[in-house]
Amino acid sequence: MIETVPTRISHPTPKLDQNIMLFVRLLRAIGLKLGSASMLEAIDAAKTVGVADKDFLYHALVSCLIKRREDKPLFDQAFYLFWQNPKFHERIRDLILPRIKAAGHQQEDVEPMLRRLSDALADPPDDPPNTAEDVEIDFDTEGTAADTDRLQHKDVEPMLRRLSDALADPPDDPPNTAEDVEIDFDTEGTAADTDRLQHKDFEMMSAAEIRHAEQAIANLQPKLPRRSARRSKLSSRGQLIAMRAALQHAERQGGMVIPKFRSVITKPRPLVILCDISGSMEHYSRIMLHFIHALTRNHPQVSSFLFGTRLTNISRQMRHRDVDEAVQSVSHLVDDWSGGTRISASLETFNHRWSRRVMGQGAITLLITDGLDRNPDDALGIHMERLHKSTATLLWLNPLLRFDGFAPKSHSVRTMIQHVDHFLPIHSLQAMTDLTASLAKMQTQRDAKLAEWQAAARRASLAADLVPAYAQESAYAQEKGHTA
Amino acid sequence: MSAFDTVEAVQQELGSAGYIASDGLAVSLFLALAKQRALFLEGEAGVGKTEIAKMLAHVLDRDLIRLQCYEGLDINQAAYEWNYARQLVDIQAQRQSATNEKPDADNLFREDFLIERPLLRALRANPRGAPILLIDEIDRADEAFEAYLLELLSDWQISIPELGTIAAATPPIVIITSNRTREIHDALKRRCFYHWVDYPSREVEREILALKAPEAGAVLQAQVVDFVQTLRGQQLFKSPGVAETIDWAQALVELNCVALDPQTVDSTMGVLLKYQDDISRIQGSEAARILSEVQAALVQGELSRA
Repeated sequence: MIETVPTRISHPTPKLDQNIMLFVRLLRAIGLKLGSASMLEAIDAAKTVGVADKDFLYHALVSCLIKRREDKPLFDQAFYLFWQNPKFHERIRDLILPRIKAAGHQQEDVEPMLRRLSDALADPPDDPPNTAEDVEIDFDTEGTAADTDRLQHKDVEPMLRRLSDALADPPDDPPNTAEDVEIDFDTEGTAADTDRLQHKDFEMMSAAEIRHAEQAIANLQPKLPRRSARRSKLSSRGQLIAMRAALQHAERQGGMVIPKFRSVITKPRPLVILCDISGSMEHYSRIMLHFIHALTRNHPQVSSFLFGTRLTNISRQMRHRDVDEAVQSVSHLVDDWSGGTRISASLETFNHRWSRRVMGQGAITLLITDGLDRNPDDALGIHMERLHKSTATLLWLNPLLRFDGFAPKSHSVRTMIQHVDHFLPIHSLQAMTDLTASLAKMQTQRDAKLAEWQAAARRASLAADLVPAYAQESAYAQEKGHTA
Repeated sequence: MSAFDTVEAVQQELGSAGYIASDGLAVSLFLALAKQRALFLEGEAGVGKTEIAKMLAHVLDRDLIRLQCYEGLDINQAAYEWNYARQLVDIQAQRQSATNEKPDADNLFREDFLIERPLLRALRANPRGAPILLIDEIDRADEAFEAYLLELLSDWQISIPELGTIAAATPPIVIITSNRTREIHDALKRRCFYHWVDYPSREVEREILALKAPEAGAVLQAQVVDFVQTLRGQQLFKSPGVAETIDWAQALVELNCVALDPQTVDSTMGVLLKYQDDISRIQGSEAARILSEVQAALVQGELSRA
């Protein structure tokens, strides 16, 4: 990374302060969260290290201005553009500092990179950014799979887009996101109606009913699982002796030592949600986003991911207070809505890139999927097993479980069911309410049924392993015959 | 006050002590020392985060005070604790010597009843100069502990409610490491210089191996490094770190191995990979394939050099 950032500092040192200031503002414009303390620090650091060696200046700025690894690729590109090219530098200065000359900047660009960039900056983008807030949300995709992917491909376009978006004038019209969402409070919400709605499958709901359901979800009061932390607090009914408090009391009371107690406190377990948004889950994905949002709002530590053909981290988007804006920013971010399913590959990505970062401290995982993988591969079992072993409890929430006659038939479902702790429906409001109530207890009536299915699935996979060798050989011969 | 005059000096000193620091790390370290701020090192396990603190202590000839974080770590274990036994004895003594009915229990919380734990010890004056305070694997401690560190890291002091504030004689050199099993709060990171410790490049790793496992010949070193570098590109659940590379090279030396061969690779795979899934994936044909690639590439390199 270091070698790929050639630097040529063509500005004299007295201007260094100002240049770093500009650079920090540029970084802020592309979404890095930097306070003025960081800026002063960067100036100080640059002076300490000196500007004689460009690599050292680069590293000095990195260690002051980067607080997250994910910001690094963005920083590198910005650094390259800013310090490498005096023309770009001037252009940025024109744009960021109060603009005096409005027009008349003729560019005789030599490098195509610069031309592309200045084009992006000169012309208003095709679709102007809606609001300043909108832009901010877009920038905030820290560490999402999409973000990192793009950056890893060294694609400069998104960076330029961000820059041009950030630097373009904010449009005059106020945010219109709230208008898009109409919530009609008409008379439908009678008691009988609500009851019917409770048990109705989300798939069968009309648009209006969905809106009601969404409201109901927002009002859910999830009881989330907690675990005992290794900390304690003063409590008269505690089990541990609190020596310090007792002696403090003794000092005040002139030497009378009366025992005080502490009790162990509990803290919420981190929650990880993996939600399928493929074609077969189409009718559920929007409502699930509302569900995830409700959980995120009620819990300090929720990491949520969507997967269809690839995995996207939406934890940050879901932390937006307003559910509609949260959902909207997710829909911008994710581009595999209602496509195929690659459960195995998505789980692999999750295990590889995220599980160690979000599964700590006894996390509970909700896996929301129907388990229907279009092209299942043999590795699904391995990745499910890894997922199961990384988490304290793995709950599979499957909308297909609404059917009374449900039985795990497909190969992928049979593989996955062997590695889950609980298997629950998630097709109606009632199911959702039951789930949020039982999350804390972690015991459900369906567990007996699950054990039965798991045993059956294990037998089936064992039987598959014991298929006589000649059968495999003949299958192989058949396959070969096809290809030949 | 800085221990080093230039970034190059940092690299040189550490290098002579047996630690190859990349440019980025050396600059961060130099700044942390010059600006008296903590250095926050994040990276995968086994890339030498803890080692840097040890080496620094060695190079600067200072004390190393290590605080290993774990869940539930609290003030009593991290900063200070009152010596309750002595306090109780003191109450007894006062009671016996007191002539009046009501014993006097003043000054139960005196400085000589204070038991120093790593954080407080790091603030005390030290004849060898300000010590190196290594706060290791902070991601294992819970959030409450991070918040407790804020006062220490910004003002170099610890407040003890019964006693007052204890400020550092000279600020210690603080190195915080994290394996990123959870995100550390921005407020803490803001008080530090941040550096992501990456896996070393091929060249750097060879240098490291030449230093750490000199008994392995140049051929074995080159093969080991190339093999490990290829493994890191394999989407494993846990890629081998530098520590594993060194372990492996040393293990191969113990086995009197001069060059890698498929059998040895297979039988020593457990030194490199620590997950059964990863081992079963690589062991056997995949390992043989990587090995033959590595060997071919090395021969190619030899030829082009010749």
